[in-house]
Amino acid sequence: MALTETEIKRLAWLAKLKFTEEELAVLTEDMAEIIEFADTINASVGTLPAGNDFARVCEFDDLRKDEVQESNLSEEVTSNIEAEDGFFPVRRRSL
Amino acid sequence: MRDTISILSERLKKREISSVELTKAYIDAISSSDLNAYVHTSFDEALRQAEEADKRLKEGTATLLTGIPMSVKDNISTKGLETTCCSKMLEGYKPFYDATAYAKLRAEGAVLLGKNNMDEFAMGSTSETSYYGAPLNPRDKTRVTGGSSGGGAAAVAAHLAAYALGSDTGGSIRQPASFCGVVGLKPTYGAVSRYGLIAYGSSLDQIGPLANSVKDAAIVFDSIKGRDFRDQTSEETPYTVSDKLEGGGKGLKIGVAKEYFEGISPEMKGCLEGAIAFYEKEGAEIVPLSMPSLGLALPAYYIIACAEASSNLGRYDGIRFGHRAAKYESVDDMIARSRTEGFGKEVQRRIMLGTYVLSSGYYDAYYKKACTLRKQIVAAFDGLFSSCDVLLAPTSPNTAFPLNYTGQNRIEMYLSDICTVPVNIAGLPAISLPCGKDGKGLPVGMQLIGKKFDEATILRAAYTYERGERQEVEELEGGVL
Amino acid sequence: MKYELVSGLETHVELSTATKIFCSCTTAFGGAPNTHCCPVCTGMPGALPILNQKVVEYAIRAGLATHCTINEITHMDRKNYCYPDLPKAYQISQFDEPVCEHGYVELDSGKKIGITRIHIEEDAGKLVHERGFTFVDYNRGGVPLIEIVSEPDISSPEEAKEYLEKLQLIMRYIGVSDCKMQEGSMRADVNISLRPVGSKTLGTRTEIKNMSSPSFIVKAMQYEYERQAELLDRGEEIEQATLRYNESENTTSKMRGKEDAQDYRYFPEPDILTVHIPKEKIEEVKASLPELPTDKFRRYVRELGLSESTAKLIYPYRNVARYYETVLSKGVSPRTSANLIVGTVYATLKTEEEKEAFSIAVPEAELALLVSYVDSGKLQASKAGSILLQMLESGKPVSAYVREEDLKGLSDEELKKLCEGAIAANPKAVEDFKAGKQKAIGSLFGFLMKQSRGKADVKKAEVILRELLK
Repeated sequence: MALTETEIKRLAWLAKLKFTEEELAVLTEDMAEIIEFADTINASVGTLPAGNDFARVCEFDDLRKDEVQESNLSEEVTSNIEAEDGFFPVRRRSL
Repeated sequence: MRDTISILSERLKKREISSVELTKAYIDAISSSDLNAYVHTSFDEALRQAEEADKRLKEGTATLLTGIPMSVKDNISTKGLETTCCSKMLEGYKPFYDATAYAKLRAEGAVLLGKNNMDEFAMGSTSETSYYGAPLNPRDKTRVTGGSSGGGAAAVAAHLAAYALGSDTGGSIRQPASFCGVVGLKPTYGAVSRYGLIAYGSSLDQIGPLANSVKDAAIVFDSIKGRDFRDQTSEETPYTVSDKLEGGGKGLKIGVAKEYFEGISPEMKGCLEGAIAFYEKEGAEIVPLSMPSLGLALPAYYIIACAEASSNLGRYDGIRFGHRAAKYESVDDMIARSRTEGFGKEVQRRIMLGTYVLSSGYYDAYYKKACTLRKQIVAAFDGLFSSCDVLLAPTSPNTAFPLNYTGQNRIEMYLSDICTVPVNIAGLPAISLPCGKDGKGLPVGMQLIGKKFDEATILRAAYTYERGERQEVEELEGGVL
Repeated sequence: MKYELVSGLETHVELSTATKIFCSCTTAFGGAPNTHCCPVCTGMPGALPILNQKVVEYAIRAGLATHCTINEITHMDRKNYCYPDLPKAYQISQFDEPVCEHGYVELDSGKKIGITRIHIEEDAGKLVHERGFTFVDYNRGGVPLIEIVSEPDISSPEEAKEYLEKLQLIMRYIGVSDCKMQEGSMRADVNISLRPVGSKTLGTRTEIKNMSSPSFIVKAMQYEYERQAELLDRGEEIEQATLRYNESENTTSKMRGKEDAQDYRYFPEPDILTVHIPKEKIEEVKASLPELPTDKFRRYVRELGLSESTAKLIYPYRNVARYYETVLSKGVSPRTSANLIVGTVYATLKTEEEKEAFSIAVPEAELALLVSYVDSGKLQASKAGSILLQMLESGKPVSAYVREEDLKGLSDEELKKLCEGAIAANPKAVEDFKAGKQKAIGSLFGFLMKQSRGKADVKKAEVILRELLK
């Protein structure tokens, strides 16, 4: 199932990535190649015996108890940006 | 004699050498190395940690790992020390918490030398997608280290660290270990806490050691494993493994699934057959097996890993940390530009693929099918393990590629993960250890795969081989001192 | 053409747990920006979510209180969308295995509004737009929510309002949320479509987002009904869209259309294990549920004999109902007690909040004592009311206003003597009575009451007087 450029553009919008027209052309080819590979999965899934659900289960009793732990991390939380009054600031349009 | 943890620890405890002296020796070796194995170093802090370790050694409260210099892959969070996943996206990012696995080593007095090079966000098999350039293979500097934990494997092989922590999502510990001729252990999914490991494929990722010997890998594993309340998927493992290595080969049932050997070179095949013959000689029973679904693990892996990655990497939006674009029109535009500027091409491709396989209309055909296939692969492994204790396989169909090798196409590169990904798909433990050399003199890796939480048996099998067969001294042996 | 309204609500209720859904940070309202935060709720690289048990328990409570089936196996999913208030670019929610499914809420008319599902999820942070900046605060990020999705069973704005009020009441009753719409702890998205009366096919629907007041919901739905009806009458198509309601203008406006609809790419959350809720746990939660509002209302009317209007004034307020039932536990009359509360106590409570809190100066036992005097005929109800008002004011006990001995009635002997006295002192009235003027006996009563200072039992006195006058 090869993708059209329109579909790729929509995926890029969902993934919050930007591509130039040239990049889009290359990417469309790349994606076609990768998807062709991914499509090999469709070849024989049906012919294999069904597996069991191996998802591990957590018992209700083992869930985390509702007890507050003060983290006092407010300064650390914002330590990787220039915080303003404790907020993460984003200028709505670059200068 | 190699600089193994046991030997170094012995010398530290006898006070033949101090941790500070040992650390300085490693720092000198790193400083004069051109392998590009490290992307961030913390030498000052390392020396401070070494002093602290020396105190513990003096007080007699030291463990095997106290004072031993080590390194950590750049996607494992280290408080106050850059943790960038070798991506421009996280350039300058300093976590304010330690990954649990690293914190456990620190609690034992381990000395951190720095962060190892890797493929950007662990996406790759050569470490060449690193924002900081590829690390070089110490066995042959014209070749890649493998990936994604390539820097760690190179550091351990070249004695730039006594051991390293890596992460393995589809072979990222084992494959570079095999390319660089060291030991790499990918533990059972859940055996080691993932807290602080920057996620690639959350249901596949696992932290594990790269080391110079099987015993070292076992020692480090014993130290980092166990249930962590910060990672709900982690589990308690009931016993230590480093004291259960001596069992020998007698009574072991070693399965050999023929599909693993399809397409590997005769030289590599020769190395592995040698290992099989060794085990037979040691009294193990070799069980010929077949696993027809093996080849399907690869597309299933790429679908699941990319799907999870597309979601996991959504958080890099330039708001709280990491790269923020300088020019943009709106907050939304800032996010898209930051991501586009911050992520490399391979990361972007995998995010796009992941977005695609989860998108409406395609979910059933890809993601859901991959999950069905995953269950079938688990069932297939269960079947194999009903007639053996350990599976023996090559770690990779290749030995180390030349640098900048692109192959026929991208898919050929993806195919090089074929021997390692099934283990991640099924959440099993596996170890890669050196097993001879190919015609070019490059190390060949043997992979031993075990049942869930049965690290003890694969380590015992690996240890038996290492002791019995790997007597020849390799060129890089001799260590840092 | 005549159209009928088809509507369903998605209601978000903030749960009143102590900690967030996936970390041990406090859920306390307010606080300086990003002070109730940790690596988990700010989506730092490498941080992992740890599910809060209480959130699951509260969802079970909410489900049982709305007659849902509780799924013994439930798991979390990721809902992927990128927005600055969502730090991970995905919300951890539930997709195909929610905690609760297939319930209903019953309206006063007896109509049942179906509940499709109730699932648990995390709230987003807060954005402040100021001075050309967007400031992000994640204190609310990770606060637990349940989303209650109704079937499209609602056919008028009034039903929507009643449904929401019922839901609010139930959630408060079972103690899982304070449901303060002003603080945003209860919000609803309203889906609306129209179809010609009698038609079975559903029309194209629009969704009004983030409504936080039942009265505005009524207005918004009325507006949207008119808008859609007008379009349909003109033969135009309804555009499938997400709308925002503008409170000051009473209009809806388009936030986004179908073309930029999100694709949430749901998939199972790999960082959180599937949860198994054992049957015994569900039974345990069921046993711990209080009497539900509708059941209480019915009991008040059917068993206690309250009028519907009186019952409706008491049962919605959990604290009033609790107070009232404590008074009744002393064995006094339900109706007298209810009337004193509704008629007298409420007169002193100005706001809904005061009724909600119901912290009054009169303990339950004191009110019960007062009611018992009325019950035994020792005190007239109106008198009791005025005494109660004084007690509410002063906080003093009943004994400060009436003494038991004052209320003691006269002996039969004493009463007979008084009656004889009354006859002797009122010859005119006696004459009139004997001449057939029944009303004349009233003057005798008046005399009696005066003489006895109100202690005389009027009914007994009447019997004696009639006997004496024969």
